[in-house]
Amino acid sequence: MGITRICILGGGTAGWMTAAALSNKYSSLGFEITLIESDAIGTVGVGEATLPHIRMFNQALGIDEAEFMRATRATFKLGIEFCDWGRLGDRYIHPFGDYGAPVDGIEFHHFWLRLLQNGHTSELDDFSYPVLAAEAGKFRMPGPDVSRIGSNFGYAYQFDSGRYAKFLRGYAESRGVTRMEGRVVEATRDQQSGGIASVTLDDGRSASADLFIDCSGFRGVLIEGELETGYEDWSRWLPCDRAQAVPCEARGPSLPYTRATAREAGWQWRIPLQHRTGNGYVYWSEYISDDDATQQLMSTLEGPATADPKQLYFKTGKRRKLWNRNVVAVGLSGGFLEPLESTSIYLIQEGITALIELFPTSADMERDAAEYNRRMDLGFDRVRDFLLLHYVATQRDDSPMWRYFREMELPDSLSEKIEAWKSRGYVQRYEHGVFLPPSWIAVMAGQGLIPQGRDRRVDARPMADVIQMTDSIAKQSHAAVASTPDHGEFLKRYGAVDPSIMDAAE
Amino acid sequence: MAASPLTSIAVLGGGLAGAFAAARLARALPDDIALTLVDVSGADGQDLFFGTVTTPAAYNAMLGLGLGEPEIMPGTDTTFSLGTQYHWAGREWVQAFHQPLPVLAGVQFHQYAARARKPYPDFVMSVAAARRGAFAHPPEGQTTPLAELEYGYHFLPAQWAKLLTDSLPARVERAAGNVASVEAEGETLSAVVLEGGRTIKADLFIDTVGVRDRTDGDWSGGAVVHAQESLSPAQGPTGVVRTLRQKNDGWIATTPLRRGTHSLTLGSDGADGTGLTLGRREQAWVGNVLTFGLNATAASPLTPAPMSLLMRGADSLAELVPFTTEMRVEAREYNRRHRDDFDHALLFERAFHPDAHHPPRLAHKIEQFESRGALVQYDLEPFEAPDWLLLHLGMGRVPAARDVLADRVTDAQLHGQLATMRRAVETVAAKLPPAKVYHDGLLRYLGKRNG
Ligand SMILES: Cc1cc2nc3c(=O)[nH]c(=O)nc-3n(C[C@H](O)[C@H](O)[C@H](O)COP(=O)(O)OP(=O)(O)OC[C@H]3O[C@@H](n4cnc5c(N)ncnc54)[C@H](O)[C@@H]3O)c2cc1C
Repeated sequence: MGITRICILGGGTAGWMTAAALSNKYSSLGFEITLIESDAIGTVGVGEATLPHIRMFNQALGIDEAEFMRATRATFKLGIEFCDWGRLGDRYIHPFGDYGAPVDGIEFHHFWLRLLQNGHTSELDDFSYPVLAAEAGKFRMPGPDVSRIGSNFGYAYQFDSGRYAKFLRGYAESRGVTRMEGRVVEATRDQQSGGIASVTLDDGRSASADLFIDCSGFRGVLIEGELETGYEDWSRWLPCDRAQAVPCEARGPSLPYTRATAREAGWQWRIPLQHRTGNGYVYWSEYISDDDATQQLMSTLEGPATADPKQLYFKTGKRRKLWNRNVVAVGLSGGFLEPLESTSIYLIQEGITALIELFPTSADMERDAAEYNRRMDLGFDRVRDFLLLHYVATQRDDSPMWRYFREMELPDSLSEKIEAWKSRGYVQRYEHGVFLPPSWIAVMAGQGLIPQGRDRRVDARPMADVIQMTDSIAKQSHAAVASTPDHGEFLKRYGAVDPSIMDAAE
Repeated sequence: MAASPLTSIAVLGGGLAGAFAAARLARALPDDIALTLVDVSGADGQDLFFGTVTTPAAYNAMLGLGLGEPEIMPGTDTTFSLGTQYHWAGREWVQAFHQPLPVLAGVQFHQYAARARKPYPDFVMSVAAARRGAFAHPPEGQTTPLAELEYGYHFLPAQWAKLLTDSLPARVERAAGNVASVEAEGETLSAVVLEGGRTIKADLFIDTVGVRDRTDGDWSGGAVVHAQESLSPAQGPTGVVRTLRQKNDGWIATTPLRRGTHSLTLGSDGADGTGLTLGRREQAWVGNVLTFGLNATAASPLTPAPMSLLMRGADSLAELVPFTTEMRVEAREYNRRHRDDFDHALLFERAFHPDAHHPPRLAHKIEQFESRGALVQYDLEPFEAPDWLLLHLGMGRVPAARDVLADRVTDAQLHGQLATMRRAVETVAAKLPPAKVYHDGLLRYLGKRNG
């Protein structure tokens, strides 16, 4: 017997993304898809900065970009600006794009290193169109010819997560997804398989299904509450465990990037949307009280707060099995690695993609789960190392938290990567997982780790050639930025601005 | 000893691996690094274990060394290869090089073929061409089925070694002779003394000849194989694939080369063949000695793995040439890539053996394919998803279930689309000239062009 009845528990970003993607794929096969969400419980209400991969997700659903941006009051995102990470006063942008382009098969940054190591001054940022455009508050779409500077970059969005969920809800419901409102209070098990047969709501209604997608947020109502799958605690490496989030009125032009500012016991985000700015302080409760965190957050807002700060609690890590029996945990129920690099929604998307590729064909899902868990574990591992890099590639020691990271013993996989970079500007490549070498380069160079050596092959060219080539690339990137419109102007021209905001502004 | 800039590299060569490494380094490195190639006599004694087939990656690898087809084809017996036809495990299939077929509506092509109960290989251009013994260069920048043709080469290691050696620029200093002794301190080799007294000093040694002993624990693997080769003048039509037949304790491969048919027999019984211990070094690079070629990774020429590993090793080396005489980081990273590349290649080779105790990563691949036709790929494997797909199907592995999303198209749509694709492939294949005719024409053209 096939798997044709799917129940999604939870109506946050994860729930509705799953519902939209599954309905797009399976509705025409006559599958029944139900989503249960509780208005009383609500959603986590954060998660507004994304990675470029989300564009593929939306495209696969056939969503019109401008319409989606209007509905979610989205802005474009070219990268993340990191302030005070390497040292107090430092800043850099981690862009969605490469630095320069490989020459003779050698990664471009080695040519830059040759300049530096021979006493020339040269800024890596000059070779990155998205960094320069972001700095200038500008944006346009990448062109079709990716070999050109000004086209070899990606972009993502900053959006209102509540509106995104609502937007996807419309999409999913129009494709036959049934929504049930209420609180799940009980689950019944299938005697034979040990999987979940049905869930019961507080008003007595119930929903049975062959496959359950647990999108119930940190609670993990099915994956943990019912199946007791267990949680791998990663707070040894990523110890921040609380956050406060608060929106405020936007000030100044809308910027095409997210900002993450390091603080004494954590870091603070700033996410500019069309109609407001999202802010939050992610911190380690060991080293700062909730009250002090509130105070620090509120005192650094750029405009008046438009709501009370919301307190959030979490533990970084992931479920021991993201797919257990007939339950697949997608979203916060599966794990959470703190939002420093906007990876959560990306991991939701990876989960959905893998689920579709490995969609079970019978009640015996053990093999499907094995491959799913292998893939997702790798994805989580690789994100973990990259996040941890931000905390350890630093000279900061001005508070107990920074001293903790100084003394931390790193996972081998990470310390080897850092050492290979420091000694010769080498970055390991892999095929699977997010964060390609340019991201590693951005963070390591941006946080002040400058390699001592380089790829020897770059020395085969005369120095004058290298100077000329790098100069020319820098000029091209600056010229491309000069002809790029302001971000705000582009949003309007693109038809991406919510009309009600336009009216309000006039 | 304090680290000083790395200024010299010596390749202890004499066979294909040494020539390849020297050619690669000579092209890539600045002139202030002195390069020496030592022709150690007899170093090419095992080169027949490189086999006679390369993957399509050889095209770029050779081109990067200044050796395009106009340089390679006229002076050697090299021919175009679409892969290997296996007569193996009681089955027969063409293991052809190819790119993944299109993913339609998010579903991999082989899932549709499975639904329609049509053999997937029927849709692969290089399989169709191989079955007809036909070949022509794929046109660039077009979207005809012919553009999907992927090809490697049939080659003789000795000829390529010579081609590479002859192409070495003058900057490579040459020496020849047997290694009489070495001067070493700990893991650092300071000099190699050749018979006749010449001393070769270098900061880094690329060792293809086994100067560094294979102590216990330094080699994983262990099966000893023996091989014999011969070349007989061509009789009858020659093809565009290597043909490999399983025999009692090994196999025999015949390869269509320009001047005749090459045959390579490999087995565990070694009456009078050349022997080789399959496997790999635990650490290819220790101290300032990087073991290279068959001396570091000895995969079976059952597949094109030996050449693939050689090319990958050269890539890793070129990227990791040390900056100073302190090369711990380089060695560690090289060793990581070395292990991954070999172990991944080994999974592919082991997949030819149905009943063996498969390593867990291979068992997982097979289980995923057999349960649902899923192709599991690990990071940067030398054999890619299309290779695995043909191998699984060739070995008779049949998925028990398929992707339900393949059911979203109607029967009529599905059969219509598949018939169109099949016809396109067949039509193009039928027009291709026999490989030999095409090859002769190409050589005539090159001959005229070169005057
Ligand atoms: C501080 C912070 C900042 C973040 N920033 C980012 C970011 O910038 N970028 C990013 O990609 N991600 C970010 N994330 C993560 C992101 O918010 C989440 O990945 C995303 O919102 C998905 O959440 P969810 O849908 O899994 O859970 P939730 O939003 O918590 O949704 C859970 C759903 O389950 C329902 N539910 C729960 N229990 C029951 C029950 N018993 N019965 C019925 N319904 C139930 C709830 O009503 C709700 O609908 C951040 C997270 C935090 C904590």
